[in-house]
Amino acid sequence: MVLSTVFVVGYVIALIVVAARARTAREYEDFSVARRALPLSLIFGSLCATYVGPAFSIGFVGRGYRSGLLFLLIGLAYSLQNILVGWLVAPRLRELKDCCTLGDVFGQKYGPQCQVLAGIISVLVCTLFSAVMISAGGVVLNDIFGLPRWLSVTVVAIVTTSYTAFGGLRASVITDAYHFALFALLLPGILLYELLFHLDGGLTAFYQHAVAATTHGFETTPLLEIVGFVTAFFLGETLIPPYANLALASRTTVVSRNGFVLAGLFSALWFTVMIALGIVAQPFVPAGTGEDYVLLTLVKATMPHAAYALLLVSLVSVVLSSLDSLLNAGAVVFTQDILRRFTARQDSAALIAGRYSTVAIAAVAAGMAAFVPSVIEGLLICYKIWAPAILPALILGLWLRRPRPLAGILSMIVGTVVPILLQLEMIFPTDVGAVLPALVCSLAAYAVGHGLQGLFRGGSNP
Amino acid sequence: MKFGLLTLVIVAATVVILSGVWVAVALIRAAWRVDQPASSPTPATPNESAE
Repeated sequence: MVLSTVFVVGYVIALIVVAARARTAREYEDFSVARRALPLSLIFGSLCATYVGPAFSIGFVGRGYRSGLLFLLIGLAYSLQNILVGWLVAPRLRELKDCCTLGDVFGQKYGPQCQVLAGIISVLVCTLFSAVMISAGGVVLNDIFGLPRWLSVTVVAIVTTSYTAFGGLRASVITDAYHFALFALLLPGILLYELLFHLDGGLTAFYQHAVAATTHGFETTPLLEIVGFVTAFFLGETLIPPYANLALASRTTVVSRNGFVLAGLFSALWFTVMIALGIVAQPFVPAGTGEDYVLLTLVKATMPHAAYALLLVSLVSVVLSSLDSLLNAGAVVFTQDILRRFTARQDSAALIAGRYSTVAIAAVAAGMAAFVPSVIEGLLICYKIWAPAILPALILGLWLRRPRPLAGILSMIVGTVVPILLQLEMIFPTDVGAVLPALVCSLAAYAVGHGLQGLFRGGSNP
Repeated sequence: MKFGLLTLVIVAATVVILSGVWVAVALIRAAWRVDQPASSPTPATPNESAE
């Protein structure tokens, strides 16, 4: 018990020291893009720390327990997406001048209306993602300390907001590196410990568990559902605001490209470790255990109490490192794409607005955390909105020589409305999830807008 | 096949741990540099290779 307390207290003290060393952002460019001076190692660490949230850790262990290697194969779609973004999109984003957010990119390509629209969608997505993260953090604290749910959620929100609001992107990236180092050492460490000391039946048993679970996974998951998952993993998180901000804050285009490519390769290895933990858990975790509790149950059943405290530290790291990036990105987007559009704020005023926005988004997300159904389901809802609403207009805008504003606006509106209607089952039912049909509608809307504006005005954004 | 699966898992876990060490070293360097603004690098031009 004493050792557990030492671990937790040591973690908190180290976090305070690291956050303090990251210093307070004194200028808006510091707060929003860390002066565009971030090196490869920090971009890589922050990207990985941001996408490795509860879904890619606790959630994947649960999926490995239930369906073996099936979700490793599905997860590879996410790895591929990161590599493609690194190769094709991230350097193009970094090349653009004076862009702090994706909204700025939309503003340059399609005009101010599109910037505001992209800003509204981005803030919505960041807030939803933050709510999922705060909810997951609340579950962890509730499980370990037995705190009431509302108090756990409040603690997670306040701790993260405190350093993100003052330090901005740089503090977020520095603390992400700290959290990444912690969980990248501890969670694979748990796996190696289990393989060395608790693999009853040895190599054969591990293989048999993997085959049995994978077979069960394929038998119980319809093909169309697998296609829906692959699509969601391939497109859902593509260039969400925290990732886009890191692409824009990289020191160079080369750093921007390599950061995403390495993060994609890392994700494949990470998924392998998490799925393997789920397979190793099979003999120790009772059949009725909820997916989100497989990892906690495994460690409780097989490791000393101090290791359980270390797991807690890892999971808190996983949550905070995703949450701080989302809060910072949401605040920067709200300030840059919405407030500054209407009030022409000076940099000093924008910095203050950014800090208040961080607090406001955290407060709203904490309030919404009670309504998040489960970690993965919550993220999938966010995925469904983001990809169709933003990606077609963004990618085509970066590649077309003269993108037209009407095309961007129509694509974003249709891409936001259609997945919501599909989710509410107000239009045709679909088994492949909302992303693909919504994406098709969004692309069609883009083509219509592009054609119409060319037909009647021949205009493009200057 | 059995051996290959376990080898893959162990290699993946090892590379993840090494990535953690790499980023930890970068974190220490970055945190140290915070106190030395005069020696911190000037932001490079976008197309310049940094690492």
